Amino acid sequence: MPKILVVDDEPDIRALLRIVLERASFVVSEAGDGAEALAHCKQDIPDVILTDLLMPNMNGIELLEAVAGLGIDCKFVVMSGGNLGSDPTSEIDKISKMGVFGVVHKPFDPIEVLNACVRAAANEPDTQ
Amino acid sequence: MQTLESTETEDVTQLPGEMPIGRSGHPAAANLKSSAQLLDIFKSVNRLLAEPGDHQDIISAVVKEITLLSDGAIGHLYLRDQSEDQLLTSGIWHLDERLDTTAFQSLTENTALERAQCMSGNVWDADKPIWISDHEKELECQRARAANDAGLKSGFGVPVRSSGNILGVLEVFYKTPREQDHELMDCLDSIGVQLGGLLSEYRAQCLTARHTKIVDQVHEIIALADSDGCIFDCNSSFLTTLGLRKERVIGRQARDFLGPPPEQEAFRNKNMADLERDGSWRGELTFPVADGSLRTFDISVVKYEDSSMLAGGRIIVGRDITENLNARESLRLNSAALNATKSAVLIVEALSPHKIVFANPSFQKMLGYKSSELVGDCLASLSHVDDNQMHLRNMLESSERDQSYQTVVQTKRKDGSVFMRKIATSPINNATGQLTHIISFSEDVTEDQKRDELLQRQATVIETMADAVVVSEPRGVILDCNEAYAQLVGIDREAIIGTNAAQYTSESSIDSPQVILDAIKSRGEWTGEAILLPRDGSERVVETRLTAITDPETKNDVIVTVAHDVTEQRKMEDHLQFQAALVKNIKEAMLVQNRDGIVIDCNDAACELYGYAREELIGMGSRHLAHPDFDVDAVFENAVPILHEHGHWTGELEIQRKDGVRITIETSSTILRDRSDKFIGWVELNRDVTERSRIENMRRLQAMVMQQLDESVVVLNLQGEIIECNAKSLDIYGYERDELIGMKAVTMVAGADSDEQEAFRQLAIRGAKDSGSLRFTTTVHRKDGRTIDVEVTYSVLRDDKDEEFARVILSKDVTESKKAKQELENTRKRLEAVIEASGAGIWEQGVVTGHSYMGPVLKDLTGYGDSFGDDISRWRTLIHPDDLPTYDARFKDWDGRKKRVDCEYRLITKTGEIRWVRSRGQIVGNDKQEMVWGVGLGWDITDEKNKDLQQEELEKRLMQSQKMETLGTLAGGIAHDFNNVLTPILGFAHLMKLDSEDEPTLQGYSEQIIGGAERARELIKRILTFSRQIEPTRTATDIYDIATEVSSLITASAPPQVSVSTTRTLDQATLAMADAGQIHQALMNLCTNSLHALDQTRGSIGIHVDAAIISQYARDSMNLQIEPGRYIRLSVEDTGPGIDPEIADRIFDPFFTTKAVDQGTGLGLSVVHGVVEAHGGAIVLDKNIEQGTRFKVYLPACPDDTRAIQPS
Repeated sequence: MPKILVVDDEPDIRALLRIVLERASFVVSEAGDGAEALAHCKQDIPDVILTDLLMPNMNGIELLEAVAGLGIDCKFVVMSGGNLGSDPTSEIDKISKMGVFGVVHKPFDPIEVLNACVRAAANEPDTQ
Repeated sequence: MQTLESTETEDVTQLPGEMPIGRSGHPAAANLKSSAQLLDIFKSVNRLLAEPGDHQDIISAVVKEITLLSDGAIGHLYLRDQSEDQLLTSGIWHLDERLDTTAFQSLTENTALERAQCMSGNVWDADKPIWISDHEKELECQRARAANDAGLKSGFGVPVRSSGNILGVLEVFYKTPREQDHELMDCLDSIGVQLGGLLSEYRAQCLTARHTKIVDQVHEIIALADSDGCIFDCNSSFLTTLGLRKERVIGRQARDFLGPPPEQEAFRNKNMADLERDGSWRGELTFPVADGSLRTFDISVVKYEDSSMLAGGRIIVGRDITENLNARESLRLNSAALNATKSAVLIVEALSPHKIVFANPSFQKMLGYKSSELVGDCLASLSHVDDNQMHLRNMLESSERDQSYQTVVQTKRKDGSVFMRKIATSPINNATGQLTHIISFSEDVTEDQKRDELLQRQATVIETMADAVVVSEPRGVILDCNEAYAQLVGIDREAIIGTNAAQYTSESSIDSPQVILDAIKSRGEWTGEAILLPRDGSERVVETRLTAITDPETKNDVIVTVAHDVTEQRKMEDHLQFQAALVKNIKEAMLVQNRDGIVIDCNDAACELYGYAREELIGMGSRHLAHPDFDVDAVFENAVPILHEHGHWTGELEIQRKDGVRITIETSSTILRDRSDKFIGWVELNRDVTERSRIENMRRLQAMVMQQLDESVVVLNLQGEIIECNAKSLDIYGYERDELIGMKAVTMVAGADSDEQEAFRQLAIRGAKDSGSLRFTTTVHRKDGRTIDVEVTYSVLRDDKDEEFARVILSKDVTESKKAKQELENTRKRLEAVIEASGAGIWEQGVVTGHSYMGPVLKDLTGYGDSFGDDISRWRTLIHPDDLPTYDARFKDWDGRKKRVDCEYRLITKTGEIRWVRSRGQIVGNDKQEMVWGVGLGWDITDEKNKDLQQEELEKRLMQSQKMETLGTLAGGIAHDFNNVLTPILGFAHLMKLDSEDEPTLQGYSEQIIGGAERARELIKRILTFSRQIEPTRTATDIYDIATEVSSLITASAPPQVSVSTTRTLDQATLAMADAGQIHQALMNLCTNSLHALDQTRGSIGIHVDAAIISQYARDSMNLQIEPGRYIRLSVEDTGPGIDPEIADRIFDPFFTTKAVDQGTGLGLSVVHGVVEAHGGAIVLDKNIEQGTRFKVYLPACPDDTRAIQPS
């Protein structure tokens, strides 16, 4: 069973994703922000991390860097709220370079997210 | 002591330890004396007592008899000594030769018995006989023990009585223990009484014998006479004193011994009556004694009644008081002497506390105490009178050593006055040589001491005085002299004494000895000058005074000579006279001043100089003499230390003569010191230097002026040599003064070059010959080789007779001024160039004079050119009427100080063109605060003004841009949160749709939710677009293609009366780097807006695409915020009502709309704006269109598109 860590500061979104992902037999853990997620990773390394970008304490980008910095090998799927700051292009480029398996834009069709996560767990990059 | 059982008897047979048996129980016949025996004792004793003879013999016999008759071994008689009240041995013993009783006797003789001590003491105490049966039982008594040791085992004692008094105790001892014999005891008790009588008699006899012996022993003469005065007995002293044997005395009348019969009679007549009357007589009688001398006796005659003599008798006792009388007389005389002597005498006891026993009147008088206050008191009570007490102790100690002592102390009298007391003390010993008293003699030596001190002082004075003192015999032999004399003649004092004074004196210098002696005799003294001849060969002049006095000791006349050495004084006087002459004759005014600066002497010249009489001048101070304006204190402040240090000071002073004339004096002061080098004043020599001083001042002034000149001045002699130069000369020509003086002037000016020198000669010297002075500029060589430009004035000076006597060269270094002139010219040119370059024109306006000037730049500005003239008032006529107040205000409010003028105004040129002019300048006023003159520059600033307007526009754009960005950020934030809200709505709606496949109704609802959420998502997307949150994906896109696409869409939705057309400029590139989708939407928005603007009315919408090159200029003029370069221009215009200019600035604001509240989001143009900006392009509202609306969108052209692009 692939382990997935859902990171979002919105509990509703985490609840939605938990339902969707558990139906697809993922073992789901949750974290409210990047710092919490990082602490979880140190305890139990997930196969996939599904994370929002804009969060308090530690945002998605910082989480990516921190996990990479720890040498933890896991795949990322990123959810974007649409506002990536002053220069979104460069942020997206950055994310891609960090080996992100997929980017989904909020609001999303849950199936779209599930597909991205399944691909990540199976280590099949989106060919699109 | 063990109690003696006197009543008990002891049996000799009784064994020790057995109880004694009473007398009644033991009829020991052997021990009992028979009555006959007792009777024998009585008889025998009575017989003995009746016998005549010596009492002692009788008593001894009685003792022996009793002892023997009592069967005793030893008998002894104790006598009671009534004075001591104890028992003493009588020395009467009866001893048994067979016994050794030495120790017992010795003890008895050496020991007196007290009452109740031992057997005999008890007998005395009990007043009855006591029997001791056995001495073994009495061994505690020392005597009993001694008796026992002597073999005396028992005994008894019997009291010897007379008239009831115990006179003694008779003891008898036995060799064996023996019981008491009562009868014997009773018998002996009676015999004790008889013996007492004998003993009493014996005692009386002894007493008489003793009295007789005493009477014979005394020194007094004693005689016993009967009532008729017939001597019947006398003592030894009587006999020895009178030198008679007793036979020759007895029977004679006592008065017979009083000397010749007349004296005997006289005594008898005079004194016998007294004797008869008083019973006694006492008096002093003098009569001859054994050696024939008369001696005086103190005679007492006492009548007495003698029972043996019927008529009674007389006892005559005489004591030889001759010696006493002598002593008494001596004492009387001594006392008188002591009382009379002026010496104060005090006698004290030698023993502490040294009681005062005598103080004579002198002593009392000396100390002021009465005898009663002194005698009987202790010496210590007098101690307070002396200033120290040491002498008391010394006195006592000396006396103890049998020595005299002498000292002087200061003593205080009772009245408190003080005097010097000389005390001499001596010890007084008695006959045995023992110290008993101390006598002191006091003397008031106050005066003596004073005199001694005076003499001492006088001697010291004489010894230490500077004058020589000689005491000599009248003939000149020196008896004594003081040290001064010894020094004067240069010989040791000891060597002088005994020599003749004449040998030290020059005979020629002094009167002959006889004349001197005569003078002394007649006048008591001789005075005169003499010349002494000391050993060193010199001569000393002495003032000599000889007086005669009589030596108090030898009564000889002696001459006292006092000589005062005046050698130096004479020399000094000579010297002074010489000096006085000198002073009188010196020309300088001399003042002698004391240390306070007061004139104490002056010479005639001084009187003349100061104009005062000598009397006036003396007593004046330096300050009085100084001119009031002259700061004499300052000069003194400087001068006094110099005077003290060097002893000399020279300077100048300004003084005021008596007549008020002020003169300058040169003063030369020399310090005056006395012999001890103490400053006492100074001497001034003064000279009138007024004239000299004036000339010197003038010369100094001239020299100073010359030195101060900023022009080189050199003075030449007729040979052309420099004889004087000033500091500037050295400065200009670079020589030292020493080098210049003596140098030829031509050398100084022309250097070593002879040609140049010659040229200078020609030019200057010859030139000046005629005219006297010549001025020219030339180049000269300094000493250091540097050349300088000099303006030279060469003058020839002539004296009164028109004779040339000197030449003067004045020269001024004009190198710098020449350079400065050049510099000024350069500056002027530079300034002109600068002004010209700045494009400004100069203006100048003389407010008072009316003079004015206008620079060519300003004249050109008017369009009239040079023909405009310089009249500045004409300038005013060209100024735009609106700006005239500004222009005229330039010179207003002038406050009298310099004021900057700065104003801008419009000028209407000759061609009617309006040019902006800026004028800046300054106003200069005069002393009366009147505006005199204005000067300044004017510029054409039209271009700048225009630029400023553009700048304003730009700033407005920038503000717009910032506003857009702020709104975009805000909107972006909201959009993000909305997406977060939408996510669960959309997500769960999808899940619901999936999970409700069997329930069509629920599915329908789900789709409704999904649809709504997706519309919301689109809306947010649009917000994100205008807020540039969604980055365009730019590719080479043909804008014209998009235009036609949109055109067709709009046409489809437009009402029939609206025509939509799309055009392009042929052969022009239309490829832009753009996100096709976004551009599509932007164009759609623009067209939709146009469609709305037409609002169902007839009209048209036109889309046109072409290319444009945006130059820097075009960009600036159109105010586009894009980089210059190639752009694709997309124009959308409609024939609608157009945009109200009022709201033109706000049309791109998000949520700004003119539509009804529910008819538009207000995001349309915002999105267009966002898209275009995100593409690096620009959108402008074309305001130059007369009707309708036209937007122009510029999008960066695709660089690969090579098709022609039309320049904009």
